[in-house]
Amino acid sequence: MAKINSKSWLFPGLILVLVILVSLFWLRPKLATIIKAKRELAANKKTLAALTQKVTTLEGLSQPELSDKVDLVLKILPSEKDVPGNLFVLKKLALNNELMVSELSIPEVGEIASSSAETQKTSKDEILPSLEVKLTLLGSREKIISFLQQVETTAPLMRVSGLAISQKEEGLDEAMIDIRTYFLLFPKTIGELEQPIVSVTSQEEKIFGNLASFKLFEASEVSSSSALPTGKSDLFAY
Amino acid sequence: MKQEIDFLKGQKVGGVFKTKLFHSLKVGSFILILAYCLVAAAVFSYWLFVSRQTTKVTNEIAVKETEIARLKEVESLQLVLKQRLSNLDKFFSAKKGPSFDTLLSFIGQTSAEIKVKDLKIAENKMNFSGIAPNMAALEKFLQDLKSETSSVLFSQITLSSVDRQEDGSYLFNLLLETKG
Repeated sequence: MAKINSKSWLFPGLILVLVILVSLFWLRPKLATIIKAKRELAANKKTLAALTQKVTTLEGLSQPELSDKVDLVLKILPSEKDVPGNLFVLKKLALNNELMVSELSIPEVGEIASSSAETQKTSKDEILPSLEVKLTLLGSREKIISFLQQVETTAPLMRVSGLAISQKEEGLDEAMIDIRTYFLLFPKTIGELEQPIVSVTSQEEKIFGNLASFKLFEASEVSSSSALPTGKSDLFAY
Repeated sequence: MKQEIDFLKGQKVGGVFKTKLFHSLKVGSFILILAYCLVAAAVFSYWLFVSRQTTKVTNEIAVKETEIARLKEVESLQLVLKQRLSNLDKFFSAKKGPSFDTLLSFIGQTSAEIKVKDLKIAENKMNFSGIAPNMAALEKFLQDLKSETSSVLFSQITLSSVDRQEDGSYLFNLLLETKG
């Protein structure tokens, strides 16, 4: 029988030390790395799935069609306060209805197309930021009613918020109308890359369908300044 | 020289046990190192697999990001459309109550004989001041205001004052609360 001496314990002892050392300095860190990589992989797979879904959705959208839709929606709900445009549309509507505009004013214009719009929105607890226009018209009651109907179906989006009518003479009324014209700033950011594309709901599609019935004045008509009263271009000219 | 073998003299029990233990330990050490090597190989392989998978997925993400960047304009258009339509949806849903033109048309239809002196509509309240040529015309007008159409438009109608004028006509004031 082999004699057992202290040297005989060397092999098992070495193996034990090796196992402990390898476990401590290689296996343990490796396992930690694997756990971390596994978590990262799971997160990356989730991101990839979201991105794939997003790409599929985006590829399914037609850019020309979207562009047309956005053009129409922006005409109805502009991205900034369009003071000359609003005044022109109201004046044009009044003239189309054979009404005389005796006063047309904007009490609080504020900052044009800025973050003030958002402040205004929150302070007045409204859904959309707006600009108030005060208008005094002279004409028959029927024409005033027709004007009020058209205001709410003409771009940009407007709502009558106050009305005061008094009879000047037989068949001639004076109407003081408060109109709110609405706008909405563009979103500040597109959002995170993996943020999914929120599709338009059927209810919103219906809303879009209704927007088609809005009366639009041609851009050239609106931008034309000849219809609006202007000041002197040369202050020193008589 | 005479040598003797004492067959009856047994080996120390402790010595046998020690030998067996040593043997088991030796075999156990072999098995342990083998098993450990297998585990280490498995861990290494799995780490390799996970690393490759991570690299593959990362590359795929980069490809998708490039595709999304290419479609950025479509995304912006969709975002603007959605933002506007959802706000318009809220806006139109929140709109309640009769419109100003409906109220004005109704007053116009019911007050054929009445002269509208002053009419103010703001925030669900309508202040109507009119002149009726006689009491009968005023009664008819007030009766018409109780019609079915009126109940759709107004939640409350209050006659706040009636004054007889020198010419026999009646100046009256109505406070109407619109629905919504």
